[in-house]
Amino acid sequence: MAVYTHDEQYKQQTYQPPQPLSPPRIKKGMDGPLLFMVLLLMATGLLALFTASYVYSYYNNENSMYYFTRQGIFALAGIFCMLIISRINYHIYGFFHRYFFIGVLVLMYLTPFIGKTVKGAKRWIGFGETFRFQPSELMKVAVIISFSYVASQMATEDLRTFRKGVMPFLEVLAVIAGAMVLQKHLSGTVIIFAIGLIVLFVAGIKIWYFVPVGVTGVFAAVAYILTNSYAQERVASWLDPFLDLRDTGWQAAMSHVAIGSGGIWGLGLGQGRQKQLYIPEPANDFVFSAWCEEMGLLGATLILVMFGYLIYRGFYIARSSRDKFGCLLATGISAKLAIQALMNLFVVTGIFPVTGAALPFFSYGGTALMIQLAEMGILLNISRFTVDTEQN
Amino acid sequence: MAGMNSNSPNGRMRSRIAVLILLMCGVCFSAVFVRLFYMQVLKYEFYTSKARQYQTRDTIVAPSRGTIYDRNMNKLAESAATERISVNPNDVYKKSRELNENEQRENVARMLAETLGLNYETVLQQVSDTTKQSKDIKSRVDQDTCNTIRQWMVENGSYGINFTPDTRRYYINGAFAAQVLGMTDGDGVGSYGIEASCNAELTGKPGRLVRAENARNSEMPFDNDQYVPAENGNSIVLTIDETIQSILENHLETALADNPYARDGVEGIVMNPKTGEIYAMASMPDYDPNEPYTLTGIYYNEEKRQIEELMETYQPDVPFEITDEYYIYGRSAGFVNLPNQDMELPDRTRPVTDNKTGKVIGQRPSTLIEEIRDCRSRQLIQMWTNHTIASAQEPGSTFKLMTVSAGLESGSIAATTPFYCSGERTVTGQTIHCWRRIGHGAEDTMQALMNSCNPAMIEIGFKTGANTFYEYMKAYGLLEKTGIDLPGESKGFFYRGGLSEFKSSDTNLPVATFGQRFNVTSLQMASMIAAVVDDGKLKTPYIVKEVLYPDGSVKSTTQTEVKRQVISKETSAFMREAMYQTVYNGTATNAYVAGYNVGGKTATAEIPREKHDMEDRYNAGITAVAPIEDPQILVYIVVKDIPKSIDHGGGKVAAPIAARVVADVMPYLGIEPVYSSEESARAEHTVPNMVGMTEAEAERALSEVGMEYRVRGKVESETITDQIPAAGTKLQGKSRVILYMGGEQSGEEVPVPNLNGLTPQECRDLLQSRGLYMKRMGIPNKNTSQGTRPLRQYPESGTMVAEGTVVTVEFINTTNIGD
Repeated sequence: MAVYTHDEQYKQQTYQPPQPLSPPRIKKGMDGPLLFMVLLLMATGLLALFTASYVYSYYNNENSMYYFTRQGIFALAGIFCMLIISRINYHIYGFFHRYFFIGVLVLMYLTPFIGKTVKGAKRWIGFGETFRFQPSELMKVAVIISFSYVASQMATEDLRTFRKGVMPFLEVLAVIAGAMVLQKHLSGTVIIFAIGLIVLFVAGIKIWYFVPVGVTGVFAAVAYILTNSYAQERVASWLDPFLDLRDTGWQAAMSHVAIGSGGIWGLGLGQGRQKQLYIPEPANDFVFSAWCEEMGLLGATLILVMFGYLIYRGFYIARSSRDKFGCLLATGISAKLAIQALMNLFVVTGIFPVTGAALPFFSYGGTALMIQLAEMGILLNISRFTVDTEQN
Repeated sequence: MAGMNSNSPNGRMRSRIAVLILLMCGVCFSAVFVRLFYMQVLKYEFYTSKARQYQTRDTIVAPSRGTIYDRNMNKLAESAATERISVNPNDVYKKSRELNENEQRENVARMLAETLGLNYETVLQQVSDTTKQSKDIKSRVDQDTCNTIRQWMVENGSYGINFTPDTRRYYINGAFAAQVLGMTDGDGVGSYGIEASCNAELTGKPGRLVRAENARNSEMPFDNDQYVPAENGNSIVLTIDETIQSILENHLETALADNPYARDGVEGIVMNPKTGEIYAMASMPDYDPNEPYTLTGIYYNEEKRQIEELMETYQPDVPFEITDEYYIYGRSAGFVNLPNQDMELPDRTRPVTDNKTGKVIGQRPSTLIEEIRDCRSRQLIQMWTNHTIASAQEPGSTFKLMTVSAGLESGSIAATTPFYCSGERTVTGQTIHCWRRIGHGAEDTMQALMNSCNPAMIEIGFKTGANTFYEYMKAYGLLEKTGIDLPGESKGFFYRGGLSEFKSSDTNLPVATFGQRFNVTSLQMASMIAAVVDDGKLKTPYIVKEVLYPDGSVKSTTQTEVKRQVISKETSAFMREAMYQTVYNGTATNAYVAGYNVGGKTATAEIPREKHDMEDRYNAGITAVAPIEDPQILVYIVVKDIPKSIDHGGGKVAAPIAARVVADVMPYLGIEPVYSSEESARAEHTVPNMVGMTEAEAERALSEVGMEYRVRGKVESETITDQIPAAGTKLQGKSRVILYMGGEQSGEEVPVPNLNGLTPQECRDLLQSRGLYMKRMGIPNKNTSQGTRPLRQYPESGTMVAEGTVVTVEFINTTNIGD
């Protein structure tokens, strides 16, 4: 190729592989739209959480500001962390990713023994009543970092073999899955697998491996549903939640009623009725339903656009990042945000059957929010190293 | 170079990221948008209606049912505010996190079962039925109990028990005027009696409360509440007089006890013959409308007999055991041993109805248990029925009042028409006997009635003719309902083919003249007799005096409705005199009440036997009107279905009951007894207080009330120191009191002697010898005959009483009172 792009020339001149910890050279500032979207979503999320939760929290915590106050404090702390992390060169994660990963993995395997039981599942590790977190949340970050780093260090030829490009990762995922099974955390497992595979997908592994896996998976799922009456009930309840107003059926029905009765314009901020104890856990998984009732299709679309744009921006940063590690790291973080947000939206609107899925920036959860904002910090840092792909 | 290249994202990576952007930001978010559009725009109506369904509580606010009063505004039935308790099985455990599901359910079920007196297993089952949003646990729970449960819920942090307003009916006097008042069913709708006929007035209009509530039933702060207040029911004031009703009921109960073989019980009516107002109405045995499913008395006996007959028919040799738990209360626990209870009985069928249309689509064999349950249901209905208006029977000789008055009014006979009774009369080859087989000889119209003479009646019937006779029956309202404002009235039964069938047999008219071969209700008879004695005016009897608005103001007042003039004033006056003579000198002499001019007529009606009966059966009846010269009350009493082998005559069995009712009701109505010279021995005088008087003063005081005295013990004082009986005691006629002049009575008690079988004079003497006084009742002194004997005495024999106590002795004539 006779004509080098500006980018390639730049990289050839400046990048020295043996010295990844070269002092950060900030070619441009943080990605403004990304930061703006994060802050906007965070503000919207707090508002939605407040209006959705105040009745519930009035009845259950005798303080209608309970969730809002705590989430607000975590948000402020999280934004602070994000801004700090946005100044830490992301390459640094590559050096201790191994220790971080192993540490989190050990925590995960310990969780079934030292963890706290919340809502029937032992997924939490806590110190006292107030501070607790799910190691599986940290594992998502660990997978993103480790997979990104390892894949970015691998030669493309190796990556495209099954033995080197896929097997080791699958083995690691299997080990993680083992810990998740102990915690009976199916949706978490799916998310971790999805994030890991998306990182590998972008890294460049051959994708035809997944065709038989996918086909087998679909067949297995169909076979499972056809032979298991419980599964059939769940499916029936998913297709029409009004059939059986118990447990998940009730949750889904109340969520759908909230969304549907919001109409185009909504009942108005603060005027929602389904949040009056009808929607289960309006501060957690069903914040969006309450928001839809009050803000209507218009307000809901606004949030969809904000999420869509933020995720697009994340992928954009990945595309335009200077090195593979940054690219994969940004991809993983964006994919995780996308998967979590979509999973929640799919569940509350009934596209998916009901399963625990929190909406990033919206659902109540201090540590999850901190982790989310930290990830955004990493993404912001990566954005400092991007090259202008518009000219590419 | 290759290494450096490998460190920057290559084209494949970028294009794959582009795929992700397309997939996630494009496809997935669009999918969510499409789904939202579908839900919020296309299905908006559906979800809005669902939201309304979940978020609003449409509560029916039950109106308070009106009160039923007697004519003096004493409460007979009233509603207390109660609540209906239901559970939402899903909430019972959902909202309580400390206990697990089963513990929480068991907890709630145990508490409900204990507090409400229900079966724990049943309640647990209801509480556990999570397929339902609401399960009714118990209705009509009083507020105290509800508050106890609410308190428990608060203390235990329990949810899912819901309360809705409801009303419970209390019948203040229990088994009192039960068949008149009726009762309400489980939904609070009147199903018998006044409760049913005045249901629309009593019910009121339910209100509605539509409230937006949150999932824990607290109100939501939105302004879409709608409240339509309930309109409480109107109250009913009856013509029933609580006192007269209890007088009647007391005497009917006594009559029932005295006539244990009266298979259909006794019934009675007290009414105002001038206005048609019903003062009292009862049939015995009755029931307590507060506990309407407790079967007692003859109904219990009949239920048992029918079930035993059923078992004997279908399982003759199979032993079985059913306890009173079933017979009385209808609980299945009473079926201790009932083999083959689901056995189908081939010759007994019941209709099969279509579930949707409710139409009968076929027949199927009954099972044994169904037939057993039917036996009970039939008796319950019998027990709840107001027999005075719903059961028709042959009236017997009281009907002769109709025969005679119709004959006189139509001009077929006159007061002076002579009759001759040989003891029988032959009609187209059939011999009809008079009750007095030796005959009454020559008699005029009035004597014929006094003697209750059948041949004379037959003669009157023939003179009147079937057509006119029938017209008068119709005019007296005996072929139609009286139109009383009570439900379930029968119009009786008179030959299916009407007049033509009546005329088709030559014996129909003769037997009809003394009230046989057709059925009328007691009320039809009472209503007819009211017309006979009240100048011939037939009135619609009524029992609802007034309807009051909930605030107590009068909505409507029932006016006496005169249907028609059946006989003239003159005929009526003759009939009154004849009835008076029937009591004073005729067959109804046992209805005599000293101090009042009572007119009456007895009846001994032969009724059809049942197939298992071994002997003839009779109804013994009496009608009594007092005072006959200006009728204020009409008493009609029937003792029903008595076997021939024991006392069954109206004069002997029923007349004393009427006399007791008249004797109690007249003073209550403020009509003081007036004793004729013939009755002076019955007049009561009050013993004056003579302690402290000199003997001369006492003598004067006693002579004023026509009493004598004697001094007992030593005379140690100038003045009287004690007296027997005490001042204020009422003594009949010329009685002698005992005075002490120094010293006091010993205070010893004496036993009341047994007066059975003694003549009035013997009774008086025996009592006097014990230092007791007699109050004589029944049978005019001048009518005292060899057959005059005590019917009952009180206090009963053997009772220890103070010296000077008055023993009331009720005499009847046991001879010449046939029919």
